[in-house]
Amino acid sequence: MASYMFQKTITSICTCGLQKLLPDLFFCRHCITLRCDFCVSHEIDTTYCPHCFENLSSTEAKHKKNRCASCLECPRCFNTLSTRSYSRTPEPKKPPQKMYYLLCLFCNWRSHEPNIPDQPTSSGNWPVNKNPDDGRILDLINYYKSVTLKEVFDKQKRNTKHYGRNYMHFLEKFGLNAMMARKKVGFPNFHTDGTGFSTSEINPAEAIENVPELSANTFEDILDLKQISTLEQRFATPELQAENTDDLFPIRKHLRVKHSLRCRVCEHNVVKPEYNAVKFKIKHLAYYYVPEIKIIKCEPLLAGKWSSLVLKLCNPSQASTAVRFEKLDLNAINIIREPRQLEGEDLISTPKQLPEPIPIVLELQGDIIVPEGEIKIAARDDTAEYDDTNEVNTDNDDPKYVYWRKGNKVALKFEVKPNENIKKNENVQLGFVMHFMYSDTMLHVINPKQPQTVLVPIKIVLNLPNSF
Amino acid sequence: MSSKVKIGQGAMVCKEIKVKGQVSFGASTIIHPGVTLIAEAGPIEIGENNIIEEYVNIIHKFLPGHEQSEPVTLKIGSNNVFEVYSTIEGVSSIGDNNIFESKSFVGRNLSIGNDCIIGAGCHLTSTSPIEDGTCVYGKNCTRQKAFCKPSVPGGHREFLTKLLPSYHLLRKNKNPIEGN
Ligand SMILES: [Zn+2]
Ligand SMILES: [Zn+2]
Ligand SMILES: [Zn+2]
Ligand SMILES: [Zn+2]
Repeated sequence: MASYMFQKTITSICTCGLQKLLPDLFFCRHCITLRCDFCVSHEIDTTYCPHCFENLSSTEAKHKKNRCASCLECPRCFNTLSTRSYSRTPEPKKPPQKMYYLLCLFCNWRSHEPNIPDQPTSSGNWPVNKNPDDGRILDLINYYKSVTLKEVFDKQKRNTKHYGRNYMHFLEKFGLNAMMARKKVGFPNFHTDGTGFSTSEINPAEAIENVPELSANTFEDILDLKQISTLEQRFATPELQAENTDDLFPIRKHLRVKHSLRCRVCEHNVVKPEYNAVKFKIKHLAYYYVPEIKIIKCEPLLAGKWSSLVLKLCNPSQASTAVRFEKLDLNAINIIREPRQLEGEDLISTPKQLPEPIPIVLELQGDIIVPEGEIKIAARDDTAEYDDTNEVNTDNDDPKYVYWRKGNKVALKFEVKPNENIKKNENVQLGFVMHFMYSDTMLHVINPKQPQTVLVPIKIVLNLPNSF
Repeated sequence: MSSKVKIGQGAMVCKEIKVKGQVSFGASTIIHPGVTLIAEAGPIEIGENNIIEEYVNIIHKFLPGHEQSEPVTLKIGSNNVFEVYSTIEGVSSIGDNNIFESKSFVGRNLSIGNDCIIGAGCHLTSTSPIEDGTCVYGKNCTRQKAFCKPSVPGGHREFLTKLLPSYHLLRKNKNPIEGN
């Protein structure tokens, strides 16, 4: 997100009570309120490889251990490896043969003998490092799977009433759905009632007596630091942890996840990525709806003295809006006005409360005078900047509060007075509530009338730098 | 700026460079425009077949306060490549076949062996010498064994020899010693 353009001095308080910057907030069009990454639920939408952009379904990704089958990563600096070719003549009189190797363009790591011999094809069946303990790990996984299944059966036997709902996600988690399906079809190895259900035997790990001695010159040999892998490199392949840089293997690229965000109160999506494209189907960021506030002028703050502060408001939406300001009442700050909804809103489920609203603790170090009355802000017009005749009606503006206006921007005058006892070089925290007019343009099933407008209150906290 | 420049056989030195002090360029060395060479602490001897790209700084100066010390020659070996904006400051010696990638910095009293790669943006200020066949990479300047010898893509040198003279004025070979 383009947060570098945002002033960190201005934060908004999300509906849940967390203080966030505007670009980090979402706007639920159904609850008509702010949401942040805490008060939305995060869901995995698709898995994809960040290098070749191949999309994989969740089962496929799980099967491939969440790694891409075709892209390799440098074991030294973890950037993507590229394939290079050269031609070599294996024997005199024979035509030269084209051979391929892997090269990291960032740190110049090169695949090398004997670990990774050069390959005659560009796709190259690059050898994948094999974990020596693969078999044992597989045994253990199978064992624990059967133990879980046994638990499921036991639970089912005890409590047949609530079958199906509570542990379905466990089934998914441990990949047991297939096993349950097998059971339903009637494969003999699983018993429906769990009696006689046997877990496969595993050999418990055994401690060995004879630990090989360290060689005599372990502590005397001069260490060649060039040959020793870094911790980072070892942790990248936890199953191997090669100590010598010669033994590093290319790593298969980790898959990434595109996630969609869902409002936890109304269960509508706030962000949903498009499948197979770097786009979004739904992208309700607060940044597209809420007027953005920026400080453009602030007189030096003096303890106990009023000084003026000019804030610029910019309306990002295609509809004109209006703002109204209110002082922040610290006593009423924690009253959460949820759930809120539009008239005739088609609910997909009954609104819920957020599981754990966070109490807002805020201390203000001064007083603020906010502009009175309603201040209109024009809609965003991308062509306005090429139009010189674009005049804005300023007749209704009170020059006491409106400094200037231009297109979808308006500069407003505020007065601030820091407390008498503020300390030197400590930021002055001030707050106010901005109500902005949100025009709802969604099509409603029940009430397909003209767009409604709702005033949305947003608590804004200013953190003004204070230097004498 | 007083300078004494000696250009070897087949070397190509663009005119738009800053030189201070005594600098000699070995045969077939290519110096791009915008290069700064300061030889205050003694002459700089650049070997054969080097490529020094745009805005490279090779600064051979005394430490402040030690201006009266004995001059030392800074020797740079052969077949080195100094990529755009790399800086060599007060380095003690440079061997052969090294690559200094873009925006790398090599500090004082560091000696560099042969076949080394100094990664892009690496800021080397330690004085422990860089051994032969070392690859320095990443923000922590991790030194590890290089698995391939640094090489310039084939034809790059020929390409430069063809192209540079058609767009830049060169310091003439006939006139090996240029005063101010
Ligand atoms: Zn929140
Ligand atoms: Zn891939
Ligand atoms: Zn690498
Ligand atoms: Zn919602």
